[in-house]
Amino acid sequence: MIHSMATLGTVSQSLALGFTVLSIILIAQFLRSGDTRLYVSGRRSAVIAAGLVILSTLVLLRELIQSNFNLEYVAHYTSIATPLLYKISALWAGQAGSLLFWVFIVAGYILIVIYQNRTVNKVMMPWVIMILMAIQFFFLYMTNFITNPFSPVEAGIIISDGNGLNPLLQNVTMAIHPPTLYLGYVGFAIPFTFAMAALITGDTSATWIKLIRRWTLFTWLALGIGILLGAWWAYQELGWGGYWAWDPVENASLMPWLTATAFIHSIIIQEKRDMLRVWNMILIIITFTLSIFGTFLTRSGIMSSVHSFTASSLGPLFLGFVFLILAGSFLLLYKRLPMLRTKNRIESFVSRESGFLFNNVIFIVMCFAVFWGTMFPVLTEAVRGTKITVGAPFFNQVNIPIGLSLLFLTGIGPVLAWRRTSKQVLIKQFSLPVLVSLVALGVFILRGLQGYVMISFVLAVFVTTTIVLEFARGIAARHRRFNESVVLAFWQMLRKNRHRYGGYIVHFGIVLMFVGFTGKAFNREIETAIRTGDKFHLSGYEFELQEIETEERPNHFAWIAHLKVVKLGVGPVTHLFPEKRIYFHRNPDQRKHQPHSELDIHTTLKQDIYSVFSGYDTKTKSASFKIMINPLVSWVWIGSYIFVLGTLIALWPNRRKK
Amino acid sequence: MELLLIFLIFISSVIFVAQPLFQPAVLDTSKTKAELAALESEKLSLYHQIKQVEMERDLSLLSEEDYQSARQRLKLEASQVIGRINIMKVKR
Repeated sequence: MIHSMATLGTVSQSLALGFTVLSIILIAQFLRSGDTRLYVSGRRSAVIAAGLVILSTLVLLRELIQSNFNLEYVAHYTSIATPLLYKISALWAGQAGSLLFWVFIVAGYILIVIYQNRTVNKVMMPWVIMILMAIQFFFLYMTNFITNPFSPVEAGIIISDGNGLNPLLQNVTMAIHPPTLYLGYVGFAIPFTFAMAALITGDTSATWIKLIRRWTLFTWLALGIGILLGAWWAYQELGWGGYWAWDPVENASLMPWLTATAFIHSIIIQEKRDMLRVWNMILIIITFTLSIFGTFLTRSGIMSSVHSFTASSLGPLFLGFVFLILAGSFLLLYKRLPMLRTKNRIESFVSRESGFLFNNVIFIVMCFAVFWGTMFPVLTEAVRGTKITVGAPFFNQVNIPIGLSLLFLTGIGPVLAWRRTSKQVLIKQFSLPVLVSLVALGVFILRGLQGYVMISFVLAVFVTTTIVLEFARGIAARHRRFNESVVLAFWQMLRKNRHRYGGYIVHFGIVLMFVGFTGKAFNREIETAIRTGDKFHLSGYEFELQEIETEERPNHFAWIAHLKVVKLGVGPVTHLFPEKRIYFHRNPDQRKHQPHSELDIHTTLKQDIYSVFSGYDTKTKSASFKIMINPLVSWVWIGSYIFVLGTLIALWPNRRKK
Repeated sequence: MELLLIFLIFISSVIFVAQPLFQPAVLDTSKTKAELAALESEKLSLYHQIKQVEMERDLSLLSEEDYQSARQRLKLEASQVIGRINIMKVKR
């Protein structure tokens, strides 16, 4: 029975490929003939294809849970001892499974789009379905012919237990992070296909933007949450004390998020002033391309070596697909350029439009800087034969001033008026924020802050003041106009202008994140090796190793350190219990044993005390530790929650009028 | 048993997809409907923009003069769109 279920999975994904092709053919015939029967049939074929993709994914999931080691993928990424949650997350742990999971999300989105538009948007929808089917075809082709998750193990080999999941991935955050990230990556296919459909059908008005605004926000939020969960996981699990390392995989997710952020801002201008039609098309094309490119970066092997990339057939296929998207969409855009011209122009440098435009330019510059730094090792290896890597210092040097410029614009942009802002309005809007910022500047100088740290904190004060004032003005305006109480005015203002005030809340979340990022400048750390009863000091704290306990658990063996933390001159603060683990310790093959450090963190709003049990010498009983004092990190996570809350407010649908 | 399941999935999928092809032919008229829907959407967008400029005036983001001119322009645009909608509805 188990073997047959795998056959069902294989057949389902093959049939899905067939129905995908059939859907494209039927809809293309409808577009030629205008016979709606062909469209209905093509749409049904798309539904069936999506359903079959979902079925094959569920079958693979079942095989993972049931530990069917007859499948190479299951044997590689799970073992009998792997906990259920990580058996499920093994679905996206490897290349073949993650690509099937990619198509699974595409399929889910396709079903939602078809359902939402079953009676509306009849001109665009055939094109939307056809383009989505083409995207699905590409990924199904790969899961069917290049990297099939249902491939059986070699004939004659019986595997009694699998390899098990990498211990680093055995973390709850890591079980949620990839699907969230994928929801974001894949989701950009929807605005992209609507944009292409708008170009093809010649409907270059803002209609397509209205159709995809919430999709884009949802996708942007999912990608944002995915990135933040990745940062949280890195901080909690990797043990180097940071949350962002400018790693190519991290950068791959950041790049489409940056261009999508520019897009979200830029479509507001098209909606309000019918400007930037071409620019919006370019932004969504780049965003979708970058989301495919991100999958390419992480799945092609190109980052480890250009040679491993060319050795696999997956990389060149992905690259070809990226070029096809770019060439096809830009050619279409070029052909439609005359239709995209509008009469509206930016009337003043000091206007909301120009604020948004600056913001867009900065996002794109930042994205290019990240792209350049990420691809530099690949380019140097391809051109000169040796790989030259640019590390975190390059990215920080370039992106800190860019990030601070963005923070500055976050404070300026929203209080500028459309078209032009008069001198009086400008003075009225900015007097108080500038005054408060100057006071803050004085305080920070007195406290000895300087450079980027000082600029960042001053800008945080400036932006927070402008946001608070915006809320205060909104409440005051409603109070004057409708004689509402402050609470009611606040609620109504938020309810009736969800995009605007949700956006301000997102901005406030970003401000708090910047405060957290800036705290990194004050990080302190120590690495030491001690025995039970020994003490060491860092930044006014005393750490005492009281005991090392041992414990055997189902899939690992652990040494658990008991560290007592005392604030000098104050008293005990906390106990920390970092662990050194050996995974798969029961495996007789020593090479399969995997060491792992499970860290422990004491968190307060002011700082984190971060402890890593990096090694234990059983002969000398000497334990190695890395301890870090990381100020303000909590604000990154608090800012993240506020960022999510703000986006949800902006996303929340208006109540439909009956 | 499993082969039967696969066969049933395949056959029912083919029937589901092919069924509309055996219905009487209907020619596509969605373009006109879409144009009307686009105009309706443009009308709603203009109403929304009028509300927005009112709010921006209340928040002191627009001077009274700018507010009046923006409002006049948006009202004019809205009346033109409504005119086009009416013409299309009469034609239908």
